[in-house]
Amino acid sequence: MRKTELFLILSILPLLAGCWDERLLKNSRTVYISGFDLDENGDYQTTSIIRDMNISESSRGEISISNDLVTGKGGSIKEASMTIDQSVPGYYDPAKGRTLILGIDVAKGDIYNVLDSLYRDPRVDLNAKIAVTDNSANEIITHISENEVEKGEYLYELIHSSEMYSKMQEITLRSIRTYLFDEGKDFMLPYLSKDEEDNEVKINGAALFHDHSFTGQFLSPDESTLLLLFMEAQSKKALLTEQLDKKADGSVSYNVKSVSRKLKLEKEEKVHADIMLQLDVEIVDYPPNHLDKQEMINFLENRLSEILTEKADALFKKLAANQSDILGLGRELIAFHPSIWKEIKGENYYEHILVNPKVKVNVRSSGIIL
Amino acid sequence: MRVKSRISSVNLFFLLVHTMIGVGLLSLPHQTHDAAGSDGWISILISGFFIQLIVLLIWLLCRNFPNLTLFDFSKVILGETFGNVLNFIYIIYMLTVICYVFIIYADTLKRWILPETPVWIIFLIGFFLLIYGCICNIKDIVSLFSFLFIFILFLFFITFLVYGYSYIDVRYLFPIGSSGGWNILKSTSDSMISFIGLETLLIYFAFIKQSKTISALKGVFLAVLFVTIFLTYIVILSTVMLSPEEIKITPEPVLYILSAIEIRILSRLDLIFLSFWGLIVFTTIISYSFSASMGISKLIRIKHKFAVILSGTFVLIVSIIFYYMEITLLEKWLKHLSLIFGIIIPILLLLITIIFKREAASTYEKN
Repeated sequence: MRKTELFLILSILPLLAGCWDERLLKNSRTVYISGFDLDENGDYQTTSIIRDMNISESSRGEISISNDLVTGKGGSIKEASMTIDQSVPGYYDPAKGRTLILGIDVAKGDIYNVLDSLYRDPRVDLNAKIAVTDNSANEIITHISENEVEKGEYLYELIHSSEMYSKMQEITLRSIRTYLFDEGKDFMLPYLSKDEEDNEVKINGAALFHDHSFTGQFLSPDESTLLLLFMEAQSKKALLTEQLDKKADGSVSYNVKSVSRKLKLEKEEKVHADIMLQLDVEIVDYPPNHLDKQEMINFLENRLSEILTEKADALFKKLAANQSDILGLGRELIAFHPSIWKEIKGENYYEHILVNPKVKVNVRSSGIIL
Repeated sequence: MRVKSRISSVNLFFLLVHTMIGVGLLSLPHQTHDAAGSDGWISILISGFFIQLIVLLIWLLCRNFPNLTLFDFSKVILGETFGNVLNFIYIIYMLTVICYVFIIYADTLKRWILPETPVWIIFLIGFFLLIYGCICNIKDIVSLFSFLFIFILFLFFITFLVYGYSYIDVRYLFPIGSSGGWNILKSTSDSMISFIGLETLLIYFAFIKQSKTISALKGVFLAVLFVTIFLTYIVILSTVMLSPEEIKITPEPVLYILSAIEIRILSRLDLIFLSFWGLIVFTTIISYSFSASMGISKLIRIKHKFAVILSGTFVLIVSIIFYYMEITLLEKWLKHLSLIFGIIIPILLLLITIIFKREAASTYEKN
């Protein structure tokens, strides 16, 4: 009995299940960063920075790493990668790219066309960040490859840090798919541009999306922070600065500690969404005055509430103009007011919604001094 | 032929949980979503409740024949010839279930981790493991299963890691009951298939100590309850993580969700999940083929060892044929077959037993 069992177990060994699927690092050209563009003929152009490992034979097998910029064209994203594959030694492996950049032409079309092939491959890193540029992705990547030391990591860190400070919505390849297939929600992506003066790539703001495509408008980082607060999706830090009066020294900076939102949806002529936002803030920079008196705190609270309500009004007007439902009011209607949703549903449901925001600021702390 | 070994009610719990949780786990949220939309979890709960009732019926049937398996008491109830016919189709059914599990298992592995590996290798490994796992008595199986229960808990805990991400949107569960009561009820017949494995109770009840008392049922009730809660949890988790349109085009929502989770050095949690899931699938296979081989050895009077090899070979050949011919009939049939073999036939047998007052005693005289 022992012998038969041993025989059975041992007979599995020569099948060597894992070895059929080995992928050696020395054969594959791992991609750091990829960008997608659309040319006039309707062909996709992929630009990537790939990492090349060279094991030199002269100096005792030392490994040196170099980065290559490669481009390829094709009728689909997969065909474009195949073109690249033919021009590099080894296998072009786009699966591990940490950042994807969409050129403006791609972003204005249906962006799912670009992403589809990525979702079909189980090895793709679904935590990759996605960004939109104001020009072609090729230009940005060429710039990075020439000027930045960190290459692929550079953009990833850039986007990641702005997410940490609640300047950008946290979007990855994984979560963007949820938004794309949700009829009642839109999203925003980091909007990159090349600053000619400083010769640097910067995040200019948040590109607004409607359905599957870029609307052409973008929010400034401050507006996008405010919107994230309305979504209750801010990160641990959310720093904002407001100009209290026209004087030069009349500004205050504060960090939002916690947010509570009350949302009321009512159907009248249009669907009215009354949003009441309560912010608990910590003052981090306020040189002109001190918060040792209750009147001072009250003044600051009222003034900030006033300013933010005004800004929020402008913000939601901008969203309405672009029909970009980043707040997810459509989903809210589907979930809790299905009867209202039935009346307004459709591609442009957002034009039936009128948002009426109100912000109330509570100063909770002011650091270690008053 | 009475069975000799005895297991306790707790052992039965492990046996049943492992038989029921298996290959359907990965695609369950996708399937319930097709049938009942965002109310899939309700239909799982309802079918869980039905299954409890059916378990009760199976127990009522089996308690008339203490220490006899289905393959023995079918002859008492239906007579020698019809009993053998029934045993035969039960054996074929169980082997078909194993083939189905094999094919789904190989297909999932091929798509998610082993795209280059030929499928026959996966089948061959399965074949060896099946034989290895089944050439033993029920006590060995119970100890194996109770050890592997850790991995079911592990699958459960691995899903906790997804809460670190902000993708969760509870609103996807609302409005509750939007698909309508009738649709939810209709979809329960689809979600019943995730409780497939119930049929093996017809055999395992024979092994239990004091099967006449209600305490024999305790383990079974708990097992069904555990499976119901586990499956409901998985369905709810996938519903809140993915938007409705997205689930429709994601055949394995659980794996897809896990593949996006990153914890420091591990960037693909789905691989870990899949490797533990593989063990859990094999317990299903072992449980079924153990029961089927028992039937074979009784039907054509050969030793258990040879019966296992026979059923293993059958499964290997049939699943390779079905896989390469791309026959997808199995899935469609199995939904109805599992209803017939798990629910309708036991109820019929119970009715015959009650009406014609069949008892185990009559077999003693024969033997």
